[in-house]
Amino acid sequence: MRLLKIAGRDPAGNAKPFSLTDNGEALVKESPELSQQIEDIKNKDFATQTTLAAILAKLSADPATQTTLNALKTLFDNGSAKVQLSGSNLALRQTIVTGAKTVTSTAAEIFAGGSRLSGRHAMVVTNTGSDIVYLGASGVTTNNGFPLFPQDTVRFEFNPQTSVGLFGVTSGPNVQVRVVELA
Amino acid sequence: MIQVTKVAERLWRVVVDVEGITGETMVACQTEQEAEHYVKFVFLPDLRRNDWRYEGIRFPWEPDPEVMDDEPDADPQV
Repeated sequence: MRLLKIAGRDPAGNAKPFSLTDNGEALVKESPELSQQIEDIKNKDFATQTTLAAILAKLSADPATQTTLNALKTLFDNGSAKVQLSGSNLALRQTIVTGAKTVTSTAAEIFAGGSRLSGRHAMVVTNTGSDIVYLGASGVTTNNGFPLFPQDTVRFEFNPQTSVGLFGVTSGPNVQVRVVELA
Repeated sequence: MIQVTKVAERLWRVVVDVEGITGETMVACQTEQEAEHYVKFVFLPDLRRNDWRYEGIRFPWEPDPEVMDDEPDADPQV
């Protein structure tokens, strides 16, 4: 005898599995396993046709293709994506240090305070003396330095993360300069 | 304390803490003695004059101010 297992509900609404014989006789038998499966199905949160239709509409309106996604990935990977910045870098800064410095025939670093101002983004130097000051890197000399003539002012811009030292030297006399550093 | 450290050929880093004045600078010169001389007689005096709180500080290597004798009286009219 073959049995066909099917599920139904009793008049109280409880799930009741039963079987049909080849003769069409119904053999009602409690099946806890089948009852549990029916209860599990009842508790599922199935997407409705409305939800599925909304998802489909979004997907088909303007779908991103694999080509488009790969192009975007390339932009981000090689750093060529364009960005637009707004605001002012200066608005984020708040430290100003000023000072007088004596530049001599010994090349030495120029800054306003007791040491190079941390995170500085600009420095301005004015030659208040009466002889030329030569500015440059640590190897600066009167032969290769950038000349700052008496009463002249020069402004240098720095990357705040990687500020480098600015050195000054004279051909002999001591020369006074005024310095302001901005960070 | 004046600490001179060679960081490259003809380049010295000098860290100072003298009489409460602290600082750090780089000096490009041939010898350690040149770097120390620069710091003593240029760098530190600059730091002193840039801050009014250091105005009265005298560095150990600076000579005491000479005490001027009173000018002798004019020729005594005896």
